[in-house]
Amino acid sequence: MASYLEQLEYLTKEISDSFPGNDFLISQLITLVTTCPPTFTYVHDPYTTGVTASLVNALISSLSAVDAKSFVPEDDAIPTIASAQVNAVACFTARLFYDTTLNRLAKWHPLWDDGCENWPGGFTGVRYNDSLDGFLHGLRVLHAQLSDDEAGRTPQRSRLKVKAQVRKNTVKMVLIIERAERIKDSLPELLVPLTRLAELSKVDIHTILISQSPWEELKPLMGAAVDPFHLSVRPPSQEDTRRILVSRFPTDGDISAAPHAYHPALLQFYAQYVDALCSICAPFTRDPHELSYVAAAQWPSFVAPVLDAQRDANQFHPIPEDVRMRLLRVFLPSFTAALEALLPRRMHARTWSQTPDVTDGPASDEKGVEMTISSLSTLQKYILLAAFLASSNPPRTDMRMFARSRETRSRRRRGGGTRKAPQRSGSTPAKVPQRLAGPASFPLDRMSAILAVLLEEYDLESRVISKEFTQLGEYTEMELVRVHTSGAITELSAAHLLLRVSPPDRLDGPPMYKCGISYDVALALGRDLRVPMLDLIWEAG
Amino acid sequence: MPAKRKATTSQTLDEPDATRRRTRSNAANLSSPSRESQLKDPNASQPPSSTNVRRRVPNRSTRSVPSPSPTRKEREKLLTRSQDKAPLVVHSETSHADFPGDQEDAHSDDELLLSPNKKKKRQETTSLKPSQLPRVYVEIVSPAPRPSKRPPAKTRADPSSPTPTRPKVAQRAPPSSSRSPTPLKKTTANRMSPKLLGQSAPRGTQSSTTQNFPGYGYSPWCLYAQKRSIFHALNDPKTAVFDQEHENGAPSANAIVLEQLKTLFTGTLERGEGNSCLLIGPRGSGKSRLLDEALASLHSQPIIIRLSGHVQHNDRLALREIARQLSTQTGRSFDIEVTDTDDESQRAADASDHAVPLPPPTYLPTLISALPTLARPTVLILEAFDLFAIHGRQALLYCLLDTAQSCRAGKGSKGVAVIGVTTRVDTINLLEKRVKSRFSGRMLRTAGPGTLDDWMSIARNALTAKPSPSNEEWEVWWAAAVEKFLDDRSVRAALSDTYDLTKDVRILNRILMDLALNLSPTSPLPNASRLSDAIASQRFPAPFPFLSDISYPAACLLIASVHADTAGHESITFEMLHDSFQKQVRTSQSAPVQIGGSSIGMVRCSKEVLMTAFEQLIATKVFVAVTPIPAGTMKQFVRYKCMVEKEGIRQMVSAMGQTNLNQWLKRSQ
Repeated sequence: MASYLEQLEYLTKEISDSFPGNDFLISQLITLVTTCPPTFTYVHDPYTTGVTASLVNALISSLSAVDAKSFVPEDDAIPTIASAQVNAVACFTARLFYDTTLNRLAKWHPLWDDGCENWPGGFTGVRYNDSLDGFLHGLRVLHAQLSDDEAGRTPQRSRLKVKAQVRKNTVKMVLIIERAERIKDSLPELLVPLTRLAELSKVDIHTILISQSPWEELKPLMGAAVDPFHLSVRPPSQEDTRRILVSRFPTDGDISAAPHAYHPALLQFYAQYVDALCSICAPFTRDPHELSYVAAAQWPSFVAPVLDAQRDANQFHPIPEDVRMRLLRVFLPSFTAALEALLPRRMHARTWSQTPDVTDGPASDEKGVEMTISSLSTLQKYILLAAFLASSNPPRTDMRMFARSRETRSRRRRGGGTRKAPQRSGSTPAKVPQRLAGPASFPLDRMSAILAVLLEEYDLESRVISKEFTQLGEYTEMELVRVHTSGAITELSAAHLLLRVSPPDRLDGPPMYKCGISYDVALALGRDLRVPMLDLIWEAG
Repeated sequence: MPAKRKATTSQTLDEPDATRRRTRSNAANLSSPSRESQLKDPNASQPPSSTNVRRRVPNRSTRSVPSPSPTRKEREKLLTRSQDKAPLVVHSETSHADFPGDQEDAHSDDELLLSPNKKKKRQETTSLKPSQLPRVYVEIVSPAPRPSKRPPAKTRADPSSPTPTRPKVAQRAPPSSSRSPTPLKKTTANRMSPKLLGQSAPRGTQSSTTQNFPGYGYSPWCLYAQKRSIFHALNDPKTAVFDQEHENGAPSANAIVLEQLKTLFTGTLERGEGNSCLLIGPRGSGKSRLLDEALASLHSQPIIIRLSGHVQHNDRLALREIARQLSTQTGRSFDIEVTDTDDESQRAADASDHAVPLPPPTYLPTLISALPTLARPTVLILEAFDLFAIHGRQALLYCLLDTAQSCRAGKGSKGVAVIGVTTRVDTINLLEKRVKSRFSGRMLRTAGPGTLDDWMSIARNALTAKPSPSNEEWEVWWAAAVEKFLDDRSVRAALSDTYDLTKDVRILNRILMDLALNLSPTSPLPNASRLSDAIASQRFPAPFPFLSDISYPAACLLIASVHADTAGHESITFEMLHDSFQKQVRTSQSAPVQIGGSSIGMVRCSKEVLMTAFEQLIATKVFVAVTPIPAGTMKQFVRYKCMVEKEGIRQMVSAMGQTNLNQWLKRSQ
């Protein structure tokens, strides 16, 4: 009969194999949970929260699966562990949280046939999910029930009644909450009681919060919450990342199967591929999930030449060294391209693996916007330009930039008479260019005025003006008040190329808009319409 | 026969003289390939005969050593100096079975004694028999790595370390225990219980084949049990010592409080008095513990109702809870009739409380006034008492205190005690006049540890908690180690710093727990560097411990934010950072310098990749939005501020060691 400690060592090793690079955390957690953990532990993991959560889940559930009775009683303190892992995203209301926690602690699975009944708790008609008080009562009842079960299972119950009493205290409940930062938003009133759960419920329960943000972010004001025992998880080192990626290669395949991309014989080759990939991509992201996503997208096309060469063979031949080197050299540039396409998810991994020319790269967001814009009408394009100018130029410069008069067509640009010299004192910081600070909102009237100038100046030649318009600019003014201009604006705001800032039901004042296109798109649009945008933007460049 | 040879080695080591033994056993650690072999050998614990020592002298002389061997004192000095710097681990290996044992001992010993004639001798022997030299690998062992603080020592943690010696050692070292790090403290422990190592392993190892601590002779179970008892002691509040008497005989504040509480409860239970009091004290000063202790000491069990201001947010929830706890403890039903009230505001309140069936407020006086009529006296404990004072009109407090005040002894009614527990010293001022006038005004104040000595004795008590199953040898050994640890000047300084900053015992508990948690079978002794690690991670943990491992785009964004800050912009948008980054890349790549065919400029990074890194930084709260994000704002124009200090970014960049980034950051200063 193996000792308890051996069992724990075995567990540590098993879980370390499935989660490489986390040995330290695993041994810490095992020691804590199996001995006498602090009532409230906070695990801060900024990068691999998902991995850590599944690690803790695997660890605690295998610890709770360990039967304390199967060991030589080295002493009476081998605990029986009941655990519940709760995701704060899924449990977005208090009642969901209470039900999920109690069901999981009690290992109760609601069944459809039974009407999805929650854990009954031994008494009929008592609800444990109505409030925090009910939940605490539920915990007490559950703990008593679990302890009774344990005492009942003790073989020498009658003989060692006192011992059973001791055993009664060794049922340990562990409540793990992942994505705990969500509690602050969804269940703020629950945060303080969760940190003091053992104190409030008077049972042996330990709360472990796993979160991406530091505790200081979650900490309630006024010192109401107990400070946690801190555990922090470092991002995996490059070597660990490599091991994690290699460990995700399926090794349980049939070795005698026909060659395919995930043939077990390719494992070593895959490890070399992962090395090369990590050396290029690891500086850009440390997340093993992201890297394995990139690796999975690239691997089929990488291994395709090898598979082609092995197609006719009955069994797998080892891959010659020079083939490896050549393949890696050919594919090195495509790793960067794959990272740039796949990391921001501009492309799906499957699409990427099926794209024949991978070095070209996918269409970017900007290109998508340009395609949308090319299908717009001329008037809509002018509206967008006017909106862009209205968003990026300060209103006080409009007269200078766009004012027209019959006498002088030359306009005064920068450095006009009324412009004040910029005050360069140390106290006032340099102004952020508008294109970096984001588009400013403008009233519709202002944009209409700018639109009129643009149409009058750059679009007049392309129009056939009927004879009744004798005045200068009369036709353009007519054009502006037409219904299809308003329609075009609505259409653009529906496509989010114009953003309406003021609420639609506001009646007073003109509606406010913001421009939704970027600087580069606006410049391209200007080139398309032969409008010299750089002359019209106040802070060009 | 290697085992026998090793035994001979160890025979020469255990000498009766204590001082000598200390230094010599250091030498033993250095030279002896296995401590375990010593255990197995029945002769190992015998005092060494002088012949053994003498026998070695001719050996040396036969090797034609011209200069006399150094005096013992000198040797000791040399050894002590060499060990003071860092604990040394020596992996010595004798792969040649035909090599005579004594000769080999002399060799290895001599080599480590660093005697002046060593060099010459070594040259001679090398010229004579180069292949028969024992191979000795010296490894400097750093303290056990704490991943939150610094990267683990490569030689220990990273199996693929490029250091060539380590894998060799791992392969060649004898399988027993020659890889054990040997901290200096071991010698003290050995001195205290010299026969310890020779005795059989404690209970728990017999059933298992778990390897012993290499070099210590204890099974991992001992350490595990010790850790468990330490954790237990730290979590179990009974171990606090600051309620004991002071040195001058005056009882401490907590002892007085305990006595007063007992008196109060006696009055309520035996004489049927109505009592009320406030228990005020800082966090972790033992309020709840004293209360529990006082309740546990009572002869008869009263009805105990526990409420908490953190849970019962309003009087009606509290009322419901009182009724529920009364029913479970008395068996009587205090069913609440949930009546449908006409009051609009109450309906709204009901709806907001997830439609919990709450009793009407009119039920309050009925229930509370029934408390003295119960079969047993009642004790009401109100944790976070100050929060109850926020409840509307303080109705619950009014009713409770009124009942307690008007409770007349000797009318057949039972007593009621209302105990408020709080950390707020001005709680009494929160009470309305009518409530305050019904409160007895009795306030008991608890206090945390008053002196540094209390603080230290808490640490000592916790660390030397007796493990179960008890193992005396281990306990003696462990107690010596703890004593040495606590006597260390830097340990005392670190603990006293913490004491000066906060007197909260819970922080001390967390620090000690972290310290104990990170002890491993390979390095089971607490030391000052572990303590400082524990303090750093528990007292005020760094909010962004991951910065040194940050990715390149994220580092660029942080440096760009420093530049924006230097330019006077308090908040930044992604576009600003991106613009700054692009300018920097352009500048750095404009120099037509190439090394090895590649440009030395900064690596380009697409806008989308930067955006991904930016989002990651937002998720980890490195960048925090300045204002609530208005709807319709494009994500690249939302204003953020950087939460990392400039100094933190500077350290991060220097840890990354990229010259480009370093130069870019320097330009902002």
